[in-house]
Amino acid sequence: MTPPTWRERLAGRMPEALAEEIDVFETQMTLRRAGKLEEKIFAETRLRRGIYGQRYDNGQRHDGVAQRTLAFPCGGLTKGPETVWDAPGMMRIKIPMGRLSVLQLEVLAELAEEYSDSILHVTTRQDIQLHFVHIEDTPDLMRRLAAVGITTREACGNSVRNVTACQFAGVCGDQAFDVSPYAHALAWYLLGHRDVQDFGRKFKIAFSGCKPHPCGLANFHDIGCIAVEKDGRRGFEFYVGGGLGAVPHQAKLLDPFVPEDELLPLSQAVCRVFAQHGERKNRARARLKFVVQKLGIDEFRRLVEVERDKIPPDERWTTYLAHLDVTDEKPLRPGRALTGAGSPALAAWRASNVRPQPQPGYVVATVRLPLGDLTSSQARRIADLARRFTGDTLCLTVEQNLVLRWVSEADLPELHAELVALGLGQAGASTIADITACPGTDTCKLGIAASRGLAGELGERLAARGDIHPDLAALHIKTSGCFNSCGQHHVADIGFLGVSRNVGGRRVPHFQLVVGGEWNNNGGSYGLAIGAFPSKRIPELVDRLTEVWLRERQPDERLQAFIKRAGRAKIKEALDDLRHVPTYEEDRSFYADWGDPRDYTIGDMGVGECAGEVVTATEFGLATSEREVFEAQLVLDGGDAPRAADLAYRAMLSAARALVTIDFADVADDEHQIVSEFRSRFHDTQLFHDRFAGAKFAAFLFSSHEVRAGQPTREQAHQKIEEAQLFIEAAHACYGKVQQLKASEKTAATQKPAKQPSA
Amino acid sequence: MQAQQLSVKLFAADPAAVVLEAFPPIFHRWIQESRIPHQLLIDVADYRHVPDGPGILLVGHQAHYAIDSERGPLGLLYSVKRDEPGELDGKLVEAFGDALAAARALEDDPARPIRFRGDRLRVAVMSRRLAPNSAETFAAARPALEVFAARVYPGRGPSIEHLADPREPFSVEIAVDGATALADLGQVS
Repeated sequence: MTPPTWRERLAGRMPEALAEEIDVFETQMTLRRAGKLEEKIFAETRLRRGIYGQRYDNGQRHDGVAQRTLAFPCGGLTKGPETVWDAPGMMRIKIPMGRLSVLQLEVLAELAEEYSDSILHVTTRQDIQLHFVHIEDTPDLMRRLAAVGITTREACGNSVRNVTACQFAGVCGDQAFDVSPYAHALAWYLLGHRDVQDFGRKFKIAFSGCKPHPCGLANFHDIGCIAVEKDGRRGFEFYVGGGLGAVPHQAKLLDPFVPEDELLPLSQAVCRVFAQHGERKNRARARLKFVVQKLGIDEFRRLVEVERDKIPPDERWTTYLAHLDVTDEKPLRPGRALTGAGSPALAAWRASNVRPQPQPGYVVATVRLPLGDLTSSQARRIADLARRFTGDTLCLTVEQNLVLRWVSEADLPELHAELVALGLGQAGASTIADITACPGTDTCKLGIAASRGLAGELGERLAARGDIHPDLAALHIKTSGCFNSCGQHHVADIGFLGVSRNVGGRRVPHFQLVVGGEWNNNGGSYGLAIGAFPSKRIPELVDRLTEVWLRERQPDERLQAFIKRAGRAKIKEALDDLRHVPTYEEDRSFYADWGDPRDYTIGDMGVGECAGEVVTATEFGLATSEREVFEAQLVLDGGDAPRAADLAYRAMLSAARALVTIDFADVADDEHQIVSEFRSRFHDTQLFHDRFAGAKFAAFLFSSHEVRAGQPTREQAHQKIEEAQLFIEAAHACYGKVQQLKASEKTAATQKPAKQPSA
Repeated sequence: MQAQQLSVKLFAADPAAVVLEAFPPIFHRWIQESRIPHQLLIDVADYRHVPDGPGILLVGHQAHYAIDSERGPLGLLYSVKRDEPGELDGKLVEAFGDALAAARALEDDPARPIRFRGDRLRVAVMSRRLAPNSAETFAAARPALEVFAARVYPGRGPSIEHLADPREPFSVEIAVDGATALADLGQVS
């Protein structure tokens, strides 16, 4: 007898709507296989169900020797533009507020084993991601999730992503009140809502219980809600238009106090304004932050108010307020204080990973997950620990860890011993060794450098150092594989974003060092890049930077304040020698990324004709542009925003001119001619286009050239500098592309068969 | 009994002597050289940072190969990812053959990254739909497992132990007494 399918087995155990949606998706898969559903439509369909692409899913991979076609058995069948049907993909699973039941965790563990690689990856949005998943497995995977109340709906795509919230909500001594039931209500209210189906881009919402701490990170979300009480009433400081991404924007205060009964309708109104006014054609400027920037917060507020008045009343706006206990947790054991410090390992773990709850005798214990990963076996054992010590729930964090709440303090020695046995008893949660990293080149299609490889290397080295100065331990390091900032490098004390550089005709993985960001105050300020360093020198850079800070700082001066006082120029000078890249023959390791022994490649750059010591005028020009953008930062630090913005524009011009000189050495030093030549030679030919971002970076130059703001604010100047840095990175990539083209042309010319003499 | 997505684990002779760092270059080379002709090898994932995890994973379309220590001692874990359901006896022969070939290739690698012990191996069915981890599944699988074990260890009276945690995938360990090298294992295909 054939065992029942998952669909048959789980019938009646899935919410009807979810079961139906999954059936519909399975039908859409059938239509796509039959060629009856356009690949573009199917792509957005699967994205809205959390089924995302992964690196090499275009069927091409450079194996370190040559670019190869991956001969998947599906032939030409695709699941989206340039996305092969059979290629492994990523499944993003929404976990609102990161709250999981132990049963849900156990099911996730099973799914990771059967459909993925036995690894559950916690993201910076409190989601779980499974990698290397085949699309044919996704309907059953979704059914098994639906049967335990989890949906992947709108986990990706142009939709409302996972709603995040502080992992301490409800058990925090600093919170105005517990934001959990509000986040829960808004997440489920907007899920599949008709007003959020027509966005030009994704939309992110976060809740925080207090203002000074970073757990909710409300400042860089499309909607950020911070709990406040006013005259005994609950409400929210309501922020809009924040976002990291390539060019980060601080959120703007829409309303200092939105009463709890207005939370849902006001959020809905914001969504409607976004749907109406958000950019559609230019994906690079389609987030809400650009709408707010373009309209200004006052006009945006007016539009939201107009929209709010139009929305027909919905009883769900307030019905949830009678059930605010929906997210409450009940402790399993009585709260008892722990007497005695225990072993040194326990003491260290308690110091960094354990936080008291306001409820007497209880604490929150953070389980450090290296790079956000845990195995299926570990997940099951953690579920057992939750059942034994705390009850039914666990919570994932935006720092890619997991917390157990409502632990009786007296149980800590036993809990810690169990975690140690699992390999998860590491101290140092939320310290410099607990590094956040996006997937980077490991699995992400957009990755330029190995952010996880770097994070793993740094984490290992920092952990091995043992006795770290407490102020050093308190720093945050975050790494992103590209400019898109999924690793949240802008709000780290020390941030890194992956870039590449051309050295002697070969590509070398680098990271831009970003300093000056603030993790506290809900991600209160954003750092700026001060230069690119070879990937393999980053551990040395971290040591050097922190040594300089600890040695030269004023008493108790934090890194951010030190950099501001000492000046970026000093920091840059202290690190400048680390920019050197030895030749390939001297040290080949610089030409490979962390954790990947292949010769590094972006766009499969080979050895060009200019290999060797020759530095071209273009390279000099690009170096000039980097210097200018750095000067722009110094000027901004000095408080002169208009001049900083102008310097940033000049830096873009220098980079554009450097490219133009490749084939037009005599280009005049005239901005109109440079822009015009750049446009015709690199923009119109699409040579400057980024594979994923298209013309986005060229547009930064054009808009700066066309619209010169008279008196830009500090924030506008900051953004202009970010844009200039991205433009310069794109110029480096473009230069590599041009070199490769020229090398290919030359090879083709030399391989052309000699003309045979006629008989 | 119908089965799919089998995994076979062959254990390292001396887990403490295995250096995971040695495996990424080897697996990348396997990809470059299409070392396993009937399978599409895609990429290498580095999970060295995960304690007791998949270690170094060679990601393939049909199957994954990992230098794994998730369940029990470190070893080569071969996991079939994409196959149609079929009779267990055929699946065992196929999966074991592929796992053994990979293990031998690793032992023969010039870097000598690992040696295997042949006296013990683990087989699992990574499909809870077809094989929930129950006494009933073990009873249904037992005849095929006994035939398979006798072919792997001819004349050695192998034991078959059911690893019965119901939350884990259906798994058994097959073992014989006495030192055994890979070369001593019987040909099953």
